[in-house]
Amino acid sequence: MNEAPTCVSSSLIPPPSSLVERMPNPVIEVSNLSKAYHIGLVERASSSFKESLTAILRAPGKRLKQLSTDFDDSPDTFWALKDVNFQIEQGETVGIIGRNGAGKSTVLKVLSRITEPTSGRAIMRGRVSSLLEVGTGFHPDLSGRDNIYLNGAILGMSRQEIRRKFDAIVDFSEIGQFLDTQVKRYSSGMYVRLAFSVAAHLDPQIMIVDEVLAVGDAAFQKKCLGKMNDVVKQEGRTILFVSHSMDAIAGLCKSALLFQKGRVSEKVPVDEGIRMYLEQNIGSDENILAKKPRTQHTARDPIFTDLKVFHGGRETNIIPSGGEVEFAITLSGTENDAGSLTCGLALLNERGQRVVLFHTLYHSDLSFRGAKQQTLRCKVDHLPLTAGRYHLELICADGFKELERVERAGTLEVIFADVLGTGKLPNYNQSNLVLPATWKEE
Amino acid sequence: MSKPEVPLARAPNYGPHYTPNRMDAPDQTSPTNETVIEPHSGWIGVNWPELVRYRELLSFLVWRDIKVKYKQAVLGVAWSVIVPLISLCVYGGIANVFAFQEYLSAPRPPILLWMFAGLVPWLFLQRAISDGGMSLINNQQLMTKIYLPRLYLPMAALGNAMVDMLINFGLLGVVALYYFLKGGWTPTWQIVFVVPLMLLLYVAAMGLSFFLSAATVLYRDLRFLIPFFVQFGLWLSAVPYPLSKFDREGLHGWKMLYAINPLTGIIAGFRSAITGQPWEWLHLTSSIVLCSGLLVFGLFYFKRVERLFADIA
Repeated sequence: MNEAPTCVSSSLIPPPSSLVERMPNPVIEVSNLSKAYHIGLVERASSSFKESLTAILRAPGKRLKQLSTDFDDSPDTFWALKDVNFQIEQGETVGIIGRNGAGKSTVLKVLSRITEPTSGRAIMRGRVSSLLEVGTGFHPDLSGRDNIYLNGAILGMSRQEIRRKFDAIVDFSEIGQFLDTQVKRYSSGMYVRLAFSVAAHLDPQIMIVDEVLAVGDAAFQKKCLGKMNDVVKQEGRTILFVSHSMDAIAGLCKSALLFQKGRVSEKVPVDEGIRMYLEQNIGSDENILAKKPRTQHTARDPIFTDLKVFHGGRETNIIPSGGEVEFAITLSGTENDAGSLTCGLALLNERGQRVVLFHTLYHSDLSFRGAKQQTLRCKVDHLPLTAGRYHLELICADGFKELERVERAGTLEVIFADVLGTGKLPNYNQSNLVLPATWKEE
Repeated sequence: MSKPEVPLARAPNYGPHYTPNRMDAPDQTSPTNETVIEPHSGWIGVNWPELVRYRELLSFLVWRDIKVKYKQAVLGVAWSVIVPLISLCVYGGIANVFAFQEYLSAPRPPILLWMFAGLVPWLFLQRAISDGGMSLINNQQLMTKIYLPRLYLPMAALGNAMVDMLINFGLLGVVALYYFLKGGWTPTWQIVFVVPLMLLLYVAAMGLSFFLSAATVLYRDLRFLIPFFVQFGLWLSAVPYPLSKFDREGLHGWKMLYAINPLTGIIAGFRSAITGQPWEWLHLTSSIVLCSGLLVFGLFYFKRVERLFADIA
């Protein structure tokens, strides 16, 4: 993806006119949107008094240059967004994904009118409300009650509207008896809950949400996502949602826009978008196994030097739930060890709990002689894991003596596949294993 | 190859003299709000309907500042009374020592009342310069994380200062009543000019705070300069001494020079209206012209640089 694909309404053939007449305009229409910043290049550190003095004297001019709105192709100009095009229809929930600095937050800021684009235009049809941070305008010295009113007003609610929704907001936030306590005495969880509750009770036609759910505990995050889901389903609102949590994106959004270095992909179905995002991350993940931290009981060179993951004959670390996977592990420098080496590969979930272990001894009754360099292959026909990220751990032992352990040797991204035939799977937090079973009513 | 005959969506027939505009273009989804986000350059007008729509926000912001300000102070709101009384003592003391009363025209008003009549509007202007000027950078979060009419941030600071000013005017009323009962001061009909002068005062305050707040975002240098503006402004606006001092000393040129500062006219105006001193017409006229100009300039400067706020703040 080195060319920025433009998002055109998919067909080249004009749609039938009856459709043209009925189909409303997209609620968000972004065309050729660009945004540039002066990044303020760091000058060489001054080595002498004279140099630092001239640097100080030149500073005002530099500052003025930074304030200018002329942007060119000089290295001082950074294009946070470059020729971004997309359209979003009413009732769509679109996930915006991309790595840090890809332009996700910038596009949200432009669409929320916080900052102006450098060129291009965007048209928003409907009342927009944006939530780029929870609790914007919260004042620590005011009570929860006061902050509900204040924050509500800042988000664009009228006094009457806030009064009408006040009880619902308080209920949703679960802050109960602390309503009249100053928010600076709140726990951070309470603070976030209250802030999100206010925002969740807005009635915008278009809602723009940045990574705000990253804070707060899992249960409340789930409640928030549920609330947002309700909003979309019942009221046909449009949501633009930025998150680094692919779970949250997959749970809420139907389609996705993938940002990369200020450019945007076509609007794709959300699964596709997540897959593209994860693959993009792998390409950049140039972590060499030999350099990763490990535990060794005697000082020696690293044993594990390479780990490759294959799926369907292709090197990738993204596999569907229940899919086939093959690991290729390269070990080196074990020729001086006794000669009954074993190797284990464990999968751990994000909480660091071991989900499954594949071990030469248990699975193949294999122990091997050390060599200067050798490769072990481990093939798993079905890996029945729920969707999410798993870490790979490698262990090498000589007899009962552990030689080396690499705790974070790599990652495996499991994506949704309909293993159970119901179209549903337990989520990552509910269960990591998916085993077939049958339930019956007696 | 023949194209399929597609009947085009037709605009409704509005009659021969109809010129379509954006709002009722036939392809409009709904008559609700459509926002076009585009780069702007040059001078940008004020979006009045939006200010009206968000008017409740202004009252919330004022309310927040007032509520927070005295929240943890032991004496609370009493400070709005104590602060002006302290400055009255200081500058009243100075006026007494230097016998400024001598310079006032007969019938000479009590010097404390005369001093307070100028001090009260000055304290408001001082707040407009310092609080108004800092209002944007003190609310950075509101500029970078959400959209709202940013003009309301300096206006909220002014609203807050205005509440204090009204308390001060109440205090001034008490001082005046004291001298009225004790003898030494009787109001003339000219006291009604306090109302239009308040308007002028507010115009000046808005102009100052719009300009200073926007400029402070761009040039943080002003943060260091604003305290000096406040200190020198007091003397340059002839607050602690009477302008008539120059008449007495024959320095008419110097006195005329003061007309460059639009704040002088306001302060002198309040003193004339309340204590019945002769009006300084030159200073007052210049003040009206310059303050209106300042407001227009401040407003347009603010709107012009507003689009940079989020990127710089």
